[in-house]
Amino acid sequence: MKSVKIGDFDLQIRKREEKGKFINIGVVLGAVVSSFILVGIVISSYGVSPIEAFQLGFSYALSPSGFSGLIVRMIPLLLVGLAVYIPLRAGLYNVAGGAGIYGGGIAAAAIGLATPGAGRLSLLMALTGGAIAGMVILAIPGILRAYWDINEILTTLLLSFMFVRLNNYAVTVMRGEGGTLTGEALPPNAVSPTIGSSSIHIGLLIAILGFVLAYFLFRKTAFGYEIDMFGDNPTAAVRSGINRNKVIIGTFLLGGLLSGVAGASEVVGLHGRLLPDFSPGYGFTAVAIAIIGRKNIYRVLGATFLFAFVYIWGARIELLLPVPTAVIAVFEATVILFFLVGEGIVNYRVDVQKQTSADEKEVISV
Amino acid sequence: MRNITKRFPGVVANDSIDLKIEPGELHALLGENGAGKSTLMKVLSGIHSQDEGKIFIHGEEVNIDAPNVAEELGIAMVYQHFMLVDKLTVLENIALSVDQTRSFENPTLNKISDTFLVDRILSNLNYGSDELRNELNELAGKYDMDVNLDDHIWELDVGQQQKVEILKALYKDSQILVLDEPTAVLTPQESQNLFELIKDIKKDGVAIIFITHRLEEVIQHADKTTVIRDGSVIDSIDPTKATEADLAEMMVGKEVILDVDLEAVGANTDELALMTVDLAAKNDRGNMALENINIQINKGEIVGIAGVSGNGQSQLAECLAGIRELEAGKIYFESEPIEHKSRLEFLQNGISLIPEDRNKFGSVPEQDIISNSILGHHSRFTSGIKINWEDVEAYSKQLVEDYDVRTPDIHTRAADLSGGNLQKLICGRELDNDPTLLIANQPTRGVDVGAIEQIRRLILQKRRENVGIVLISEDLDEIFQMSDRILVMHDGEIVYESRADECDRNTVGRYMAGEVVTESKEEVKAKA
Repeated sequence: MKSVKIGDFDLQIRKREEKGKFINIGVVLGAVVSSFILVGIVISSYGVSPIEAFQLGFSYALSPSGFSGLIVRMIPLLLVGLAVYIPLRAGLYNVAGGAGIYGGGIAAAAIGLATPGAGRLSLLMALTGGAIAGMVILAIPGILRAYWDINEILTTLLLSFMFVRLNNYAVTVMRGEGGTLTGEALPPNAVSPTIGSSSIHIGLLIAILGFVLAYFLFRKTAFGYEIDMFGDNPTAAVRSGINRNKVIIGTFLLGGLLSGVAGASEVVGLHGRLLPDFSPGYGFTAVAIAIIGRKNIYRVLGATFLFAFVYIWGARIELLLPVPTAVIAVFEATVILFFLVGEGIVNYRVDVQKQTSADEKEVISV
Repeated sequence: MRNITKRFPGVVANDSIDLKIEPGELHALLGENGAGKSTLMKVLSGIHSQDEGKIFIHGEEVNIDAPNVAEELGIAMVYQHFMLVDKLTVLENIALSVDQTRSFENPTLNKISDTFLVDRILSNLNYGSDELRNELNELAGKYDMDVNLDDHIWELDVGQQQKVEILKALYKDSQILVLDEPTAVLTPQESQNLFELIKDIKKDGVAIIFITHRLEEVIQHADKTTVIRDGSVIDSIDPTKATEADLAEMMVGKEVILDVDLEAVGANTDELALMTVDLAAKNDRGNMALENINIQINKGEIVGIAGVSGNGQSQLAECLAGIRELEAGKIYFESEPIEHKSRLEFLQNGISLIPEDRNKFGSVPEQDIISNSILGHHSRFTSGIKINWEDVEAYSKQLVEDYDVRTPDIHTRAADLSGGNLQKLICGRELDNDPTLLIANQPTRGVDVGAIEQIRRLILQKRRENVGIVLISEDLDEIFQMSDRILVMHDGEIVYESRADECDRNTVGRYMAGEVVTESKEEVKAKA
């Protein structure tokens, strides 16, 4: 219970005792709808009808090429989303999804280029190498947090900035002949096959495996149980013999594995080479996905779908309408804000009292 | 309070409760955990609002829909967990809680302080003013409270912190003071002081509502008592005309046996369960909390450790359970040195701990009963990396049934269990895993009579099964009823040891208070 006085208004905030059944899903839907409305306002400020912009997005998503684009976007978002989600259930924030992606991508490109004679094994080695690179990178914040209690949000955030630069440097090292702006094209054996004429690549399989892994972890394994106990009450968990370092480092290693393999699959599946800035903020979008996911893996999947749709929609309207793709950044920011505010309203009741005269009080409950 | 009804999803916490409190009355509110006492008081203090019923103060109906309304009406609540900021001084804490407009009597200042911001700034400056300091000193002097306004809260012991809370309430001119289990954390001497203080406050016409589980306190001190069971008032009576057994029966609805029988004092075996040699450890602040601890616990005996809270008992329990690192010394478990091992290895060796704080240390409140019923023991249900949740659920159901944990189902969150039921769940979990050594740190603190009896019986049952038991308690009755041997801790050391049938409460009480030690030290000095 908190009481705040602003001028004549008296705000009282208290925990709600009763909650409706579908209120949680209502909060998510409310946040999404309000964000779309807000983005619509931004779009109309460019002189474009927001209705037209939405229609364009939905019809594109339902077209074959749009659908394939949606899946291709969902692959890295789901993997990195899970890479944030798993540590988050232990109460730890992994903001280094981007570092994992770039590290995995660099490793995969290097292995692909170095093993032209290995046949199809080259692809497998590139993916495995990417996963291992991600684990090595994310082990750093894990170990720092476990042994020296250094805040993981800071270390992971710094790592993610570092790896944007490191990737750009790696691109210059792997530059093809003639000094192109991208890394050299990988030999065909290191590049993933795609489904038919679409660009859906081996990453789809990996993302499904990643989802099953996370599902199995929390539903069936002892380690998942330990993560949940630690996440909700670290003191009691440690006093019950749960190994704190194992939980912290373990969740970060899993996060590294998933984000590393996400980066590797982008390189070997989508681009066929290392590109500068090939992750358009996936690491940060993943934080939004994991937060909206809370403790429910299906919600992680839903949020992934939503953000993937917003990505392709933004790209599409930029192509066809005089609207910059940056409007998706507006969406991303507002959806998470609305969601957190919505959760606040659901969990807490706010009474506003206005002191109209000495003994009259107007009460508005929210 | 008339006809108060409060419903929560699935339960009626208060069912048309009538409660009448006179000015200057010490009114004890008795009831089991979950009976609805706290809910009723939360309605009174504006944290919950009632679904039905009315509240009258001095005959006038009032609508208490928020805590600050209650405060304005002169209702103050002192919770079990104090609402104090550790790092601030007593004065600062009280200044923080004081209504911003009240403290300024200066008319010119009042004019400027009309605006919110100025008001805020002035009130922040105000804590340094002599006015508040003088008023508080006067108030403390009036009631003979030894409170130094410049002490930081963390420097004070629990009894003093409680006084700060009461001082805070008195400063706000509270006419109704609600104390939620005030003596649960106090030593017998401190409790006595508290009741002296309450007597003085009563004289000024302040009504005091007092929630407790301790029947003897009700009989000795209360002017009136209301017993609540299952959300309804059973009766309001004059406690001086009742016996403890009467009150206990009213509370739980059946006759309870408060005394439990030890068949005979003395260990069942002379087989050593655990032994410490010159054990020393620091507390969380890095100060020495334990020194030169040499204790032995045999299988089939209960070693009671008495002491005023904060004299190292919790640290000792943590050392024996493998949670706290030792500074020096050794721990032998069945003649093997184990002090270097992890908590998990201690658990696997059969060293169980019932911790003193069930919400912080003993459970994960946000998780359901199923998860909590295997906390610390989940390896039993694990094969490879998998947990067998079907087995866990079956086990959890069994545990809830065997240990009489009252809950709608096992999917309920631990946070939604009442204190006594959660404690039963934790005790059940720790006892059900066949421990060789059980460390019970205040196992019956803050739980109702029914649960106390049950928990004590469970512990005695384990003694019969030749489990070595360390019972840490501040309740001397409990120590004397249950123990084969009694140790007293004071200032991080064991200052007294005796067979339970060869010592008396007075001696133990004096050692607890540290009197004897100081005396003997002075004697040594005098001789030198």
